[in-house]
Amino acid sequence: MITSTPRGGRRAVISGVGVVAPNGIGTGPWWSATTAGTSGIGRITRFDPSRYATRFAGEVNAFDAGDYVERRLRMQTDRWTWIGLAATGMALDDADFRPAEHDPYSMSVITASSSGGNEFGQVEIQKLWSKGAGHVGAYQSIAWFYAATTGQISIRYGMKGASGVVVSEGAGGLDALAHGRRAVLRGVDTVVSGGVEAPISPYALTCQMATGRLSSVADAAAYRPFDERASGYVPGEGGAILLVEELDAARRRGGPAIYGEILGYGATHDGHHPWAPPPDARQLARAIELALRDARIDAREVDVVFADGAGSRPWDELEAQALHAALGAHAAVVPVAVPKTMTGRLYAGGASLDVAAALFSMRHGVIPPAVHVERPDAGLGLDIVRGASRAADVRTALVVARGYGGFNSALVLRRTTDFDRTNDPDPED
Amino acid sequence: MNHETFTHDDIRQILVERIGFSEAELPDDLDTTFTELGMDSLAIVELQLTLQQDYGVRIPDEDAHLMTTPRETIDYVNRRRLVSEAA
Repeated sequence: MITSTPRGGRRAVISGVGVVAPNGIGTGPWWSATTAGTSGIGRITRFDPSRYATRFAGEVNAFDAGDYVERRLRMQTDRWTWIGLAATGMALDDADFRPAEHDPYSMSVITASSSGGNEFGQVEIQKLWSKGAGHVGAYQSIAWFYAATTGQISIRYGMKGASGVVVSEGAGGLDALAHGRRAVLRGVDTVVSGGVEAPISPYALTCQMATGRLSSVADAAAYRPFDERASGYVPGEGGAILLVEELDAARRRGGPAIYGEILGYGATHDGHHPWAPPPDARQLARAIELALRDARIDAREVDVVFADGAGSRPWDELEAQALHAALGAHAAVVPVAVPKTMTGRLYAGGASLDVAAALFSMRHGVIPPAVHVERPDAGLGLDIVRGASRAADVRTALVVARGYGGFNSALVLRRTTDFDRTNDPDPED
Repeated sequence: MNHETFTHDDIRQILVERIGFSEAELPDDLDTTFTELGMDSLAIVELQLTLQQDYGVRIPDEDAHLMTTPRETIDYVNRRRLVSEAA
């Protein structure tokens, strides 16, 4: 558990957001689509999915890596790293942060990945079995592994502070931000953080299907978390990269915006089974309670919950139980957002995209809808925001995420204008 | 196996297709080192793997450092081929 870190007056804020999502590339198109309830899920186009039980996914079909990554580097890296480099560039631009103007050791890169460079690895495995070991390319050694994207971001921007990669599947997007926050509290000024994933290749999809948690309903509306017809989830690619800065450093730099503060974090582990649901919601509830305690807030201060939304019955029920246990009576009235219904589950990219959505909800006063959740299970006792986006004054957001293996994480975000109105730039500027 | 002489055009083709250079990035001279071209050790390994697989040249590990420029590489490949054909 990473809480109770010495803070020394330092605070970690998010000052830049970069998004590559199935329903939009760049925060502008993505947020417009997200608030309009526009889904990016469709039949898989990157390969012929007709022989697979799961044939629908959230693909970022409009993504052209050539717009973001030079050819020589593309040949050394996987699509997942291309998406990470693209999102990083967007986050830095959004923050007007120019790495070359900063001490290399004041900047860290801490991202999440749950499956590494899938497609690159698959191509090399195909060469191995069809042509022989001598045909496996040299770049396989650096393209597939989980730290590749962190490393390539570090190299591209000359960021030499303490860096790393977090591998905790769907919880990774929060865990990376928590590690980023810890780095800031310990003295680093700037961290490129968040997560992205590119898991839509035959090999990667086969690995995912083995868990039995993917929907085999051949329909763009197959992923319906908290719905009576929940049938499993649909996978997706993309995610969000966020620029985490120390508050005073961010103010001195005078960038265009400070979206919000990473106010609290808690993480637990089920210690039960690689993919079967735990016997109860105790550990997920505890992660949420730890995050609230770390943030020093009462459950009633939470204005919106961005849910994990596994999309299958036992998991959705466990999440509802955890929310009721951790938030008490407030769980029945707090709006619950599940924008990942429009992208599919992005693995390491999912929770950081939810953080981006939470920050944009604060900024724009609107909670995006869950799509395809037409018959929410009344027995769960949750107020799922669905059908259309909902106007709301969002000061404080709770983001919940779970990862295969038993990872439970929760992050509390606080709107910047609410912790200091006098010194912050107008977030709408 | 290709028994024709290994040429400047051949190595340019590898640098474009396997390493990812554009034609414009490659100088006309044969003596600019791979390091000066911005290739790291992995790129040089990739180049030598390609020579082995596509041109049938066996490159022992102890010879890897003998090819630091396109000219040295062309000379090495053609010399090795003569040796292997004579054998």
